Amino acid sequence: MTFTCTAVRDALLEHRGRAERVDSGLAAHLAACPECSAFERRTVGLVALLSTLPRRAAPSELAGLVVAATQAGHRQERAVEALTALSRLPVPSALERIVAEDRPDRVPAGPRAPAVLERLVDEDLRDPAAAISRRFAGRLDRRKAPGTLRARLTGAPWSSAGPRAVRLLVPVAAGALLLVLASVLIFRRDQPGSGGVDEYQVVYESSLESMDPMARGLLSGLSGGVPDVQDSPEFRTDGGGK
Amino acid sequence: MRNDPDRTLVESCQGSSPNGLQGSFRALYEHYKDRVYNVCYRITGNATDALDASQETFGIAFRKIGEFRFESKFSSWVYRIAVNASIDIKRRSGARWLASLDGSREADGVELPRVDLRDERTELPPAAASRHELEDEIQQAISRLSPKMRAITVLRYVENLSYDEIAETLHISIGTVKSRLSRAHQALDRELTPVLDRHYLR
Repeated sequence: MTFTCTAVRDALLEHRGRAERVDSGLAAHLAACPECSAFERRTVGLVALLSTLPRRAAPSELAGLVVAATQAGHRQERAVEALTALSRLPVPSALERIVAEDRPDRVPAGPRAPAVLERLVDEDLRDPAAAISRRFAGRLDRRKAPGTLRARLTGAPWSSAGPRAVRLLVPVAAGALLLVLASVLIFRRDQPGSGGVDEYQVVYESSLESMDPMARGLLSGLSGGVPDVQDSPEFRTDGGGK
Repeated sequence: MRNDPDRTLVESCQGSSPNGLQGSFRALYEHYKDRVYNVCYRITGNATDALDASQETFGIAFRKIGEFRFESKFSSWVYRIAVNASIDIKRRSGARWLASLDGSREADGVELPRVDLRDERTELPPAAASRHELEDEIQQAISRLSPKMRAITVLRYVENLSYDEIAETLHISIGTVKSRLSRAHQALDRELTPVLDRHYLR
């Protein structure tokens, strides 16, 4: 029997490189065909090489893992059985009526849109910027007027005209008081036994402009500069301020 | 009805309520645990994935044994589950595949290599270190095969299954077994010829 190279190589693979022992015709082909002979050598070497792979024994922990796997399988199967055994709940009798009533044109119960909504939407569509401004401006907090505003508007003593007159009267009164006190002191020194020899002259002034400059400077120092205020119209800037 | 050496044990499992790793299933487990683990180890290439695949194999076998109808040998059925579980786990943990090749150096549970001494042209590697290195190189060559060719190589050259058994296990024809093994052989020949030159005197 003659063999093709393909048939010889298939036979070598099937018989792990020992095909010539199965059929004498193969041996004759191998002897005559160097390619197939080389293939045989490589096959024998490869089989020998693969057969050197050591066999791995199953580790001892495999048994425990298999037990866990089988129990897990049991639990899984029991869970499936329990789920499939669940009784089917009957359809509630009201369901059919609810579904029948649920027409598309049926308005569901619940809060209704206020009537003003239509106007607001219309305004928004006509002039969006103005609508937005109104909407947000309406949300601003309202501030209460301070109490002093009411006092100013009702003409209380501390109205806008009051403080200016007071500012003019105070230095005059203070100056007069100072002169009175000074004259009292001078008068006491002139009494017998006081030892005073100086003479003093008491002058009553009715306005700042007519006062002696030294007296005015003294008065200014004592009163914090208030007498220096010029109450003439050319010095007014904003309704009475300096 | 074909003659299956495991028929009695399998039927015993099918006739009794499942009770974990006990009774007949325990006997089947003891009979197949090393073979299953070995197939899983060579297909996944590392101990961690092999353990996961073995666990999954026996878990599936336990759950499905009641549905087994002896249309193939029980061993073929178990091998098929192991091959599919290994390929699936290998696919899922593909990223750590090459990184875990060091795991193949573990000495625990390793039997002595079954060196084919029938051929006078081959010689044993001189040292254990060389043997471990050789195993790594062979394992890496197997790992570079496609999953289908890897499975058929392991079943053929590691588990020594016949063409018929491989066809039954993988649910493929004999012709497909031959062509797939031929392609696997070519790929391994390319990969392992340098290894042969290094480790064996030819």
